[in-house]
Amino acid sequence: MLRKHLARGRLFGLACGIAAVLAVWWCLSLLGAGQFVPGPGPVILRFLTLFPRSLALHAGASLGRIAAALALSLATAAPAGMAIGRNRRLDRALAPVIYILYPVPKIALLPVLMLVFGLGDPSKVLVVFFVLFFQILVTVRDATREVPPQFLVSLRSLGGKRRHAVRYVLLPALTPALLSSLRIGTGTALAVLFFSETFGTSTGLGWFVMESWMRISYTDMFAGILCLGLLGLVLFLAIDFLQRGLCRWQDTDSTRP
Amino acid sequence: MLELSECSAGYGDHPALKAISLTARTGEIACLVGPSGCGKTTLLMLAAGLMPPSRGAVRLEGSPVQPGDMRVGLILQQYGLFPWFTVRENVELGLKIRGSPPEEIRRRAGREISGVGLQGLEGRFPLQLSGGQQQRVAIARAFALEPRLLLMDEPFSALDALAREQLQDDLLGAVRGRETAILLVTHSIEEAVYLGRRIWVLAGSPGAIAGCFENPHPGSPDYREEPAFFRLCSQVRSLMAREKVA
Repeated sequence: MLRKHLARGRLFGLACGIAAVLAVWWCLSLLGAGQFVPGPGPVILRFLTLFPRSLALHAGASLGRIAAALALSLATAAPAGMAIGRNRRLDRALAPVIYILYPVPKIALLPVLMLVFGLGDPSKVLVVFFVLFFQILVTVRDATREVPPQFLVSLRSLGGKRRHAVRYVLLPALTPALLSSLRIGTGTALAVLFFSETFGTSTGLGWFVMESWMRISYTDMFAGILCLGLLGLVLFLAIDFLQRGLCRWQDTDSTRP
Repeated sequence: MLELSECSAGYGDHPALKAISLTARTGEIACLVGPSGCGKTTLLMLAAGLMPPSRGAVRLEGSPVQPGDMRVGLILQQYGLFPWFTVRENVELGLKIRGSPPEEIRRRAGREISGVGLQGLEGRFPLQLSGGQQQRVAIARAFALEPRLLLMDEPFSALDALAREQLQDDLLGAVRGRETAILLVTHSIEEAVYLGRRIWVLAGSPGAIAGCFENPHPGSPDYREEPAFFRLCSQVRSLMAREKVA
């Protein structure tokens, strides 16, 4: 009963959010910018026609690149962050390197990456990977430091070794921070991916939007932008869904009688 | 039986404990009282084998306590329960790490959870339980491993008076008929006198044993209202006061 109610509340919130975006969009299109900003109606219609024909393919290509970058960055940055967070000396040695590299705009690396890895998918995945890597690394490092030592003492008293500490203490304790870093990273990653897809490819939403712009087809362009927005929405909802599944223990009220 | 003989320990150059000799016998609760900062928790770390003594020896049933000794259970001040595991998962974890067969794990965990009266709450997470219930989970988790020595650091200090007394009685009940020695650290003199067959007083910095009291009938019904209880409390208190002045 309660769960149903909550689900309905969530759907209602989602509907309100979409309605608000559409309203602002519609106002903008009315404000004389109609020529360059087509209204929601024509764009949605165009989106619906284009999606089965070509947009789905482009969205799929973008999603594939994002997913590869996410998987790669999680698999490398999370263990590295844990190791640095657990080892003061390693942290002191690596912190300056991380602090210098973290703020470097990763998009600036794209030309170099394209020279080394070619114009294809690897360089696009890698540039997104670099964006995500540092965000996850720093978040996981800081969260690892804050894991209360009593948990590790307690685990050792139960006979736990180092590998048990990772599996039974660090990973579960870090999951909330990991998901937050993923949420923050995904926004930036989408923006960087968009830019990288304007070079050397003919797939992906970035290419589709820029190509429509060149053709001066603003309706197509906005259908692509809409698709990009929806892709972001799907990714964020997926992270929220994961959070609800993995972090049930943080929710103190839901199962309390 | 746990025996510490002439144990000293410290952190770097800072000595925390000086020549501690202490015993805790199987089937009994030994209590360790002392003011904050006298090294009570350090002494538990020594007894758990989680910290080596700089001098002296820590023995359990004649053999030295090793780091991560399987015979020792430890219950920390804030319970040390894992908030991301349910009650059942918390109780089963130690057995799982030890690689016990699954049916054995389920059986023992079930037995200990009912033993502390938490049946029906197996699927809850610790944050969904009261402080007293969390402490029961911690006790069930420790007993599930059938330790020969159970170390408890201020186990009931965060509870309200009634829950504390209830848990003290439950602990006394749980010790009966088990092959376990318990060393319980507390700053409450009343708690030490109610629970401890022996009461060790730790004082000073670095901490040293200031004295030991025998307590013939700990935990007997209505002991908290008897003159003998108050007499022993005041003896312990005056020793602690004397140590503070000295």
